[in-house]
Amino acid sequence: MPSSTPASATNKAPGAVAVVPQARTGIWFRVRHNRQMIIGLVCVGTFALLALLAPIIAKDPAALDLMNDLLPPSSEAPFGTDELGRDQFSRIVYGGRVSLQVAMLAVGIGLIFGVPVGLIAGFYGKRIDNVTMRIMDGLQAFPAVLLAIVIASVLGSGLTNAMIAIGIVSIPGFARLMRGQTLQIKETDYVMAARAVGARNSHIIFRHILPNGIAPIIVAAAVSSAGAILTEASLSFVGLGARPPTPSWGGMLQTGYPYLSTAIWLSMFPGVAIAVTTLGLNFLGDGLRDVLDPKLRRGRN
Amino acid sequence: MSKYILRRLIQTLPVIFFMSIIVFGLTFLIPGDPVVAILGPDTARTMESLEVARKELGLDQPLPIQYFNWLGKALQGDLGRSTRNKHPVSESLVQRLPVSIELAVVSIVIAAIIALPLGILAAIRVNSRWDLTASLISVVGLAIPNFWLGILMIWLFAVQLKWLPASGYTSIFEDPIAGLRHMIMPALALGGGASAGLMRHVRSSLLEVLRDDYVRTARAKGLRERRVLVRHALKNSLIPVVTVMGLTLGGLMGGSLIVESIFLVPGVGSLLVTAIFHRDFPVIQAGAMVLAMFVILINLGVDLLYAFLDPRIRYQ
Repeated sequence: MPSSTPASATNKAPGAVAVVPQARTGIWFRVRHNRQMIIGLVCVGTFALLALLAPIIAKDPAALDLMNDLLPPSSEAPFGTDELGRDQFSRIVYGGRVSLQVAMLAVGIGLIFGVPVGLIAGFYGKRIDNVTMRIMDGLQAFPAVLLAIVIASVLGSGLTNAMIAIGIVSIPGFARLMRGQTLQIKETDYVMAARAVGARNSHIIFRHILPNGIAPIIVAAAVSSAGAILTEASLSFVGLGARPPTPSWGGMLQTGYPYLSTAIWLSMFPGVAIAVTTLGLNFLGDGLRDVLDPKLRRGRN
Repeated sequence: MSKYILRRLIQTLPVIFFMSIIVFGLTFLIPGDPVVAILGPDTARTMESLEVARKELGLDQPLPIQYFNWLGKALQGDLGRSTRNKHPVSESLVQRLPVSIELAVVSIVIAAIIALPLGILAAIRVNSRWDLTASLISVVGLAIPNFWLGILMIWLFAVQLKWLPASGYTSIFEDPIAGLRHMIMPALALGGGASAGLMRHVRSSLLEVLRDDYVRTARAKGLRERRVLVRHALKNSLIPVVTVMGLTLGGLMGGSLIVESIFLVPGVGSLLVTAIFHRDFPVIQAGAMVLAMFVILINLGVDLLYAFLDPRIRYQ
């Protein structure tokens, strides 16, 4: 980054100097120069693209071919075939649709409920804060995977219920984070100033607190989607996720498990898909943290 | 200290209260009639027999009374009966909880064995190759589902190399060697994943302490780097790590569900998964409560330990 700035700055009129740092510190500049962000985007983008183009690049994921079951990877079936002769590559591509859908909708549920709860608890404080946060404590007393599995098992198996369960589990995290942000921003001078000129509470919440406190929430959303994908895999593995024949990565690991000693590829590729997507989302989260809050980055190094 | 313990105990009560309400509330999320869910689907159902059962179970009472009845029974150790084999749930839990605790403890020890040296090394040699390796391991570790790690280990160590039994359980106290041979893979699957997060905390905590004034003072006094590290930096940096280890131990209880069922470890986790397959609600409810209770107690213990190790906490 350093080289050209001083030289070009001296040649220009004093007023133009401000333009140079603008171009070099803008958000897209930071995105392009953040290695984690790029790795994350590539990993997640690949699976998103595969999921999007699934009907074009993949075969029917439910097409049975019992004559060709448990075939090892070949040029015909790059990831091999499963116990019913279905093409595993196609199933992984379609399974990506399920995983990404779960990630988005479950985290969406967490955001829609968690952010307002945190805002209200932090802003109004006192009894509201106390009661809501104790409920959140109660929810967080359960390990996330356990609670998601229990809720999903009670609601019954199926993709929608799995998403609801994972979403509910992610509410307290967002609520807690938003509450912390709200408490902090509530005390800043600009909120005091807004109050002094008679701004209404709703104005302060939506125009000041929410926009200024949202950055860590975005980062947390990326990291939570990684968690959501892992949890969905766990749910599908115990038969609580997408119902067959809908392919899901966790479900594929479950049905492939009995063939571990003869068909390792059934236990290999879905796991790799889960790991790469989760890895990508975690990188994306780390990258976003740096990009959205350069102050944090400087403090850390 | 006793004042702090008391305050912390009182703070725990509402958490337990809300946790129990959530567990109690699960019954009402079940689609259909809760009586059928509690008695099991095989029970002969006529309208009259359902009404009789409803009265017997107290499900015709107002909700708050139902809750306190349920809580009262739970506190006396009556957690209902399995709809599958009619065994009292509390008996199975008493039998299986020690197994889960054993697995969790071995896992956290493994996590610490992996995370401490790597985290410390990464912090001492910041931005070195060691640091990079450690962060790479932790990033990958965080992305791998623990049950997949378990499956891969079974394939490698049991199927291919035939070094370890693929599944099963022997108590470490009865036969230490056979016990460890059974325990090592499930514990590695759980602890390996947990070590990733732990490693990050060890590194960042030690890095922070190494910047502190007293470390600079110790160095300025002319102490050897080794002594500065062990006596001054490490001792203080590991205090927050204790908290994280407690939280990790709690998280392991969630992961234990699937890992226990893959390795056929007869703990609470595999009990729960079996119950889920059979929609055995009393067992699901009680199992979830026992595991959550265990997590709450661990968190309480960790907080008390933290206050004991770092007296400043008590006075905040």
